[in-house]
Amino acid sequence: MNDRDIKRKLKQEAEQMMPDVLASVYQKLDLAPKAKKRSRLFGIPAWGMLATGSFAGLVVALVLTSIDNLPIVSEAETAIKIQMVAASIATSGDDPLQDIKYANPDVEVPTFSYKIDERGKTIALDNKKNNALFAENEPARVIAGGLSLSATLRRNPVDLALDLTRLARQAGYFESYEIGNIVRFRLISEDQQYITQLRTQLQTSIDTYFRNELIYGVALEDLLLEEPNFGNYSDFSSNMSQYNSEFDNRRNNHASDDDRRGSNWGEDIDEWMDSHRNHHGTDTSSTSSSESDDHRPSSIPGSGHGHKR
Amino acid sequence: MKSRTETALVKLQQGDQDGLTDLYEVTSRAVFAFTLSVIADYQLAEDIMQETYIRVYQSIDSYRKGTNGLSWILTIAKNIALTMLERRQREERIDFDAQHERAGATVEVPNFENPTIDLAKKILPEDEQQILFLYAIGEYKHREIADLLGLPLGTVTWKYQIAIKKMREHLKKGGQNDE
Repeated sequence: MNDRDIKRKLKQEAEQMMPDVLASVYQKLDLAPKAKKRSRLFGIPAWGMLATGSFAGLVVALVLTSIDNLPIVSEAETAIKIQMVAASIATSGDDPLQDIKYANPDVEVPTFSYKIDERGKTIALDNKKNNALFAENEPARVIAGGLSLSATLRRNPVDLALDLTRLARQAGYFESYEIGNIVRFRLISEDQQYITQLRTQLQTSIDTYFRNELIYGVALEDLLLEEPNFGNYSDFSSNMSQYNSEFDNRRNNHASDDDRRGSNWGEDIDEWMDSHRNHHGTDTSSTSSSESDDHRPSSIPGSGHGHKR
Repeated sequence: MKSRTETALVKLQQGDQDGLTDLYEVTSRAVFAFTLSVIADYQLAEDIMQETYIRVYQSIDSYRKGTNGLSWILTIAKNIALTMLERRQREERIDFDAQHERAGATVEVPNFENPTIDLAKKILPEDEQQILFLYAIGEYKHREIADLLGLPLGTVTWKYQIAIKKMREHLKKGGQNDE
């Protein structure tokens, strides 16, 4: 890499990270109305903008739909709920997908919620402003024990979901050798366009993680999942040391889950992912339950059967 | 001739609130580049930038016309960054659990998004980071950086060369290791 490349990389990375705080500065200074000055684009006054508004709107809409990887900002706050469902829980019946809605109710499934602001970053939930994660139950708190809570703040929501998925795996909350691990999520926002973009990013990122780690798993949006209730949020940071050590114990216990044995896995996973996708989409006749029995090992190290507390 | 920064500051001083938007457009890149060199925690950058512009607005009367406006803003940004870092360290000292949390009982969540900035922060001292970031991210010339930081031009050029050389060598070494 030469000097010019280094400068270019630095600039590129900084541009991705750079926050836009102007609106919040105006707001904090109680000068919000003045910020509207920016709508006088290229010196065209507001009435001029109105006159061309509908045409410009149409053009913008057309352009937006054709551009990938737009920075995700939204017009409204968004809430996300996310659960890690181990294969044995998600596929307890004959049909792995039908049954995730009816996962064994006696088993606590790690459940997290968090909020995302209009700039697409996670928001603090506690008064001390050092935690943006609502770990709704004990398994979720154990997983959060593997994560510095301050690392949950102002994060890209997809990155946070990936971190939680990774940590859930390390603590044995997925069954790497079972078919049917699921990360299910629900998104709540008034900005439907944002939801669409976020949904795609979440599914792609989590599916890619599973594929790279040779885990039979997918990310699915589940509209039947209850909406997050932040009114129940309780700050658990005072017990963090307990959850830290519990996470470490679980990670040590499940360290051998990840020995990546099974050289033929690549194709299996692709096959399963495809059938899962088809099933979840329009082709409801396809199911992977028959093949799942063929591939399941008789004994599963780090099985999530111990989730119940 | 007045710089765009000074024009915006004077506008603000005269009570024209639109000066704040002008000022932000002209200086935010530099403030961000500078802030990056002072803090280790990127998440604080947003708070520091916000607080900096609020403070600039509130203390606009203390800006002296004819002086380097950006240099004045960067000084404010640096003071705010140091105060915030100090406050955060104090909170961590008080909060034993948080201390424990960071003491190694956690797994580190790697940041794959900013490898080049991360590398600069890891291997360069603060003054070299400042010069490199203001040059590469803020797009300032060496002479302007010398004015901003109150350093001789020769020192800025020399430190920039050292910084970029260190980066080059580390990246080369990293590339070889990858192979």
